[in-house]
Amino acid sequence: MATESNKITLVSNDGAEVVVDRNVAERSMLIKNMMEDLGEAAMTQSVPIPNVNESVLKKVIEWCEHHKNDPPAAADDDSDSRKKTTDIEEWDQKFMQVDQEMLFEIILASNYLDIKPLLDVGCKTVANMIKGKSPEEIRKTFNITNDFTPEEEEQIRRENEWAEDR
Amino acid sequence: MALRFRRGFPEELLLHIIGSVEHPNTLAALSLVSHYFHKITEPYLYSTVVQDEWTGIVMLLFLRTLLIKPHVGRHVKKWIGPSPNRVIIEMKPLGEGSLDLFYFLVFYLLGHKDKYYKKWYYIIGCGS
Repeated sequence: MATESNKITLVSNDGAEVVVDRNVAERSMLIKNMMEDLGEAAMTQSVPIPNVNESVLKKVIEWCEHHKNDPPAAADDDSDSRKKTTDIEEWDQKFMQVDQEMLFEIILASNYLDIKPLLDVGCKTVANMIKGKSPEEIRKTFNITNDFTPEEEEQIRRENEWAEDR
Repeated sequence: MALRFRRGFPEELLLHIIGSVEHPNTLAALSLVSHYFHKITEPYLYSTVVQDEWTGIVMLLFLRTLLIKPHVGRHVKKWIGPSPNRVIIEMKPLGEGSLDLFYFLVFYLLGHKDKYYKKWYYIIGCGS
């Protein structure tokens, strides 16, 4: 249980307690809203995070720690402001150099905890991983079975020709 | 490395990832991965059409696809012209507009500039 008033205790789904500064934890909109609902009570009792295990929770908090002073994201206008896939800042790129299992866990956790900028970075990282790959390479990367017949594949290949690099 | 893509990875997040892919060639590859990927990639693949040159092959190939699968015209939101100008045409939401897009391309290809422009404005509204 946290004693200092500006810290809160999160509990992962495998029972580990992680003490974090309130402003760090509040990068998560889920936690932020929870804190607002609970008021003072949230500072004296631990907050269960049922969908995230200890190693992933710590990793996510490491990101929140580094980004705790980021300005809040501009109002939801993800139309043209969507950044290019290559636009991942250096620290985040290093942060995302983890095995694929962890990468997907981070994406799932940031979605559950509602940390949009982290979700974006995670998804862009996967997008960069598949950039320029062939369908077969993508299948291998993600363990997907090809359920097309050769005829169907040929048909789609033709339909897609306009999009190919030339 | 095997991933947990198929068991329990939410479609919403998969769409977020596909939405982060900008490269048409990579989107085309994604649409060839499986039936499921084909279905969810389609709106992203067709959302932006980039032309190589004014009389380029992209127009013809796209027109061919539009004839086979007219419904994809609905997904087209942006048409990016060839360099050096790279004019960006924002398509209005088309509804049954695949036919509009079809005429747009035909007039364009046949060089009927006046009709083509008329149609152009019809499609893009008062866009610049």
